[in-house]
Amino acid sequence: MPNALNLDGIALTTEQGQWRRAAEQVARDVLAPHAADVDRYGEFPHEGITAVREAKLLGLMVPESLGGPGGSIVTGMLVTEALAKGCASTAMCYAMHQSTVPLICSLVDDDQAERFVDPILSGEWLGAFAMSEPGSGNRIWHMDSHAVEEDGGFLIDSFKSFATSSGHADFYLVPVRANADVGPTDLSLFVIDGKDEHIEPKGVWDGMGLRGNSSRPVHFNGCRVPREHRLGEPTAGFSFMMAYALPIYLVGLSACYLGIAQAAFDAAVAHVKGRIHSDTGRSLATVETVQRYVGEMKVRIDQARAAVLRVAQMSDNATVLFDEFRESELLDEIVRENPDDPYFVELAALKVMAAETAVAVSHMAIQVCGGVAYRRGHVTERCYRDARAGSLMAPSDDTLKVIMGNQLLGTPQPWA
Amino acid sequence: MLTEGPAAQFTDLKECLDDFQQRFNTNERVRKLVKNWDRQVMVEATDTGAIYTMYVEDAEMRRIEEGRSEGDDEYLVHLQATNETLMEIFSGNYNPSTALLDGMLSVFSNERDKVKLEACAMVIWGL
Ligand SMILES: Cc1cc2nc3c(=O)[nH]c(=O)nc-3n(C[C@H](O)[C@H](O)[C@H](O)COP(=O)(O)OP(=O)(O)OC[C@H]3O[C@@H](n4cnc5c(N)ncnc54)[C@H](O)[C@@H]3O)c2cc1C
Repeated sequence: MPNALNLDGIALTTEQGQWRRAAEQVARDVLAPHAADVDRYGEFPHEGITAVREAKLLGLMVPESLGGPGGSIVTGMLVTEALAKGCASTAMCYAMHQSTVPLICSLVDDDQAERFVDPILSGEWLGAFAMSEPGSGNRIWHMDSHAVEEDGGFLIDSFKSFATSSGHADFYLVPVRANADVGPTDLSLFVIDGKDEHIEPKGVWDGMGLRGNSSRPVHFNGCRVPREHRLGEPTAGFSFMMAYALPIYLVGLSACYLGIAQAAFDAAVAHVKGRIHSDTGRSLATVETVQRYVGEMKVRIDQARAAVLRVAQMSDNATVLFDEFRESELLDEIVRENPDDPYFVELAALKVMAAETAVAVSHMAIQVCGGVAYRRGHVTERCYRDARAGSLMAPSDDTLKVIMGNQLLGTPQPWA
Repeated sequence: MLTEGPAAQFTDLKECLDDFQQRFNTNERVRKLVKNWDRQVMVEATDTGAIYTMYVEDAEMRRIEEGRSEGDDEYLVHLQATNETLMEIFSGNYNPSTALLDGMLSVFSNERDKVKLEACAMVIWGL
């Protein structure tokens, strides 16, 4: 059916439309053709990342005040979803990079802007966000590792249990405790140069899905980090991560899972239209059960897209408020007092629903495609495996549901 | 006069605004927020016609005067709602951003000033 009425329901700005089209082109021309090999061989998506660099997508969220295009969280969401339709591994590398950008930009001084933001803007730097630690796992508000102050800088010895783009990133954003004596949420944020020879990615990433994104452990094994590579105040990490990383991180992950669901849906629709049974002479598209699945997948995707867009818009509004608190030097105390503000709970709910949608839709997509979809290499089975990471990525969906329940019931949070 | 809710303790809008002024001026966080934000916040009750202007200068709410703001429009923030809604808002019973979304409050100002007000409400009432 042609989209005769064209009632998409989303009025994008001209810039947002341009960014989305740029991402769609990268996804169509580069990501999708490489996606099967990236998955099969577990290869880092070099071609995809190069195309993302060349399309200037890495600097999308650098604010205008730092010379960037000032892309919003809504724009970031549109771009990530478009990339995920082509190759989820590349899109996840992009989403993790993007999660670092507003945070870095919110904290840099002029010198750091030149050092860290300019290369992001030019597409030279792809980032990794190395948060997860073996001790606390998915409870990423708690870090065990810490910085040690030494002459002119810091010594960082921190083992991170997962980091997307590990071994391939041009820089790592690494939160650790400010020193050995402070609490687990008194975090310093360090930008560590990807060329530092004390960065040791461990083993080979051999994931069930998202096989190209090199989410293996990484050991910052005695990295000597200059003072200028610490962002902001020594213990500003937690509140700035909540205000400037968590929103784009959870919206970005959700956009990624939405794109995976859409890719599974598109592949399923194409398959059922083309698959003709010899006995009936009709395509699977004429089978009522299949039609019902297609309708159900669409309902799930539409619900998720509406939710991602709504929470992305909410997050853009929240950013304006956070900027206000940051400029008044109130951000740290206000965020620390309200870590389960209803806004953060909306973000949590979004990630849960997007992850569940991707699994449910790709599951249904496999069902309507039948046995061919169970064969390794079919788009729907790849989407299913890619989608499965959604509920595990931190904070795990179970943890998020517990946090939501506590907030709604007024009971103590796991970090209290 | 309201018969229910926290705003019921006030006999009229002026009394409610006076109480708000005191909270505003004794809240260190608000004072940080309104540093270099000199504005006249004009509050207009659409049903009773009551109008008051709150003068924010040098990180303090200096005075509240009856009537329209006499200052420069550039520094004017104009709030419009029913008397009851304004009393609910200024007694901390109704989040102004929610009131805005509910269509109960109109704010005429630049976007930045709207955010500033929202931030002030957040820190005064812990909303
Ligand atoms: C594909 C992929 C990419 C990743 N990329 C990154 C990255 O770029 N950067 C990064 O920092 N990390 C990354 N991670 C790590 C991820 O974000 C999680 O931190 C990690 O998956 C947690 O695994 P764990 O085995 O330590 O979980 P655990 O913490 O051991 O939790 C295991 C399970 O126990 C349950 N559980 C645990 N705690 C609670 C609780 N409080 N309430 C309820 N249930 C609970 C949940 O069911 C949970 O799934 C990635 C992970 C994957 C799979």
